[in-house]
Amino acid sequence: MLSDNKENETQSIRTLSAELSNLSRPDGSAIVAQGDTVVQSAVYGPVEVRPNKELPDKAYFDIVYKPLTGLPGCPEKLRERVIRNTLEATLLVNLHPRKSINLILQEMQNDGGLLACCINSACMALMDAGLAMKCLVAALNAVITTEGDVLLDPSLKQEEEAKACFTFAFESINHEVITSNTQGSYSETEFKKCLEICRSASMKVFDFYRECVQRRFSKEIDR
Amino acid sequence: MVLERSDGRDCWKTRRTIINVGSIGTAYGSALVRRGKTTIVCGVKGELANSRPENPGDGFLVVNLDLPPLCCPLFKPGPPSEQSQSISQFLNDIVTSSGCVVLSDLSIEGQLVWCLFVDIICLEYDGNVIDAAVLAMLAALTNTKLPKITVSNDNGEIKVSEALEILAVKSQPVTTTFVYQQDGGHVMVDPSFEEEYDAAGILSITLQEDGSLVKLYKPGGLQLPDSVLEQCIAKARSLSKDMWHLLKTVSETVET
Repeated sequence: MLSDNKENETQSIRTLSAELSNLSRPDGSAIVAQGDTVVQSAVYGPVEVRPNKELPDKAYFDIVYKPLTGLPGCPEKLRERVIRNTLEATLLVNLHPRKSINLILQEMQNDGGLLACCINSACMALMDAGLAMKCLVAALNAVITTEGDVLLDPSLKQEEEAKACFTFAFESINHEVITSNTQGSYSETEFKKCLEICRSASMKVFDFYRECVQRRFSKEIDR
Repeated sequence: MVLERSDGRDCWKTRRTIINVGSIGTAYGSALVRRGKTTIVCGVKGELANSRPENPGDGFLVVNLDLPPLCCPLFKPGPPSEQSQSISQFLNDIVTSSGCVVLSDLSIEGQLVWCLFVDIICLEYDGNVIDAAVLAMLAALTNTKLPKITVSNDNGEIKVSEALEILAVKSQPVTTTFVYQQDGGHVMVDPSFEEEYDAAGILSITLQEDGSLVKLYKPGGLQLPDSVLEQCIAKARSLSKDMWHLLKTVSETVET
């Protein structure tokens, strides 16, 4: 499953590829690659909840982020929190009171835009699990280079050399901002420019989601 | 309809901020910040260390925020919670993004560098710990005086002199946090504990004195229209001015 690939253009995203339901045990799973950044995610839910986590009005949304090596530290915890809050806003957690929805993310390869890839991978896994969501989310990464140019979906090297780095997540209805996280210092106009570029690129991610799901179900009908 | 907040504040009004610097004698620099009832103590301690081979001459600055069970019934004893770890990371990001302390300034001689520990403890949690922690961190760093270290050329002996040197703080990042209760509506600045607990989303905007943005942090929650985002940035600009004025007044009163 491939989307359009124009790697040399600065305003296009790297090749997106994904495989849904690649794991047999979870209720939903997805492995998503954005260029060389790869994240595997799996969803179990709604399942039995631990008594101390039980919420009377909604499902408890638990998320575990596994880094490539070592134990999760402060940066991973921040990432985990951002991913959880982003997806919890889209999930209809009120449909499953006293239950738990568990999402596990495993970083497979990091070549820049890890947070964005995590959010996209998690969203596809939730979609694959068939959990009711009010909208989808697409996350994009962009940097401002030291020359002041905007570079969409950069590699890790470009990210490290950049003046400022942005990650945005948009919802699929009005394409408004759900999540924003930035590094480095930048002006308000630079911020708005990046936001708009990422917003228009988010359409490509939503199209990709649609294509993935269509292909997956058309295969099953063919059989 | 005019929204009335539980403490009678206007939506765009922050609580009273009090900064007290240098109150901890055993630390190289310290600050106590109160934002309404939220109380944060920050201390800066230094240790001598060897720099990493990949960044020779660069010192270390480690910010750590602790949310002990003392400050709020929601926090349990044990290892640091996800919340405190993510705020710690947020603070570390602000230091690197704004460059308020340049790591090469922490070099002493050759491999020898300072490793500064900025420990922030919340004593009372009444919402908006992020703003107060950033303020406390900045006030403590501005207040930090490190002893002068000399290394003798003959035997490499390290001497700590009585003379103190002021730590150079290059910029002043200030964070303003907003919460909103529903899709872009009812935006409130400087949330109290209840407002933060019930919020549909939270937005933290960090600005520098030259007008540049350092961090625009919105960790999920409900979506926010661009118009509201712009309104919040503009509001953060005007509210940050008061904080810079406050920080300036504080540092002036200490020096004289």
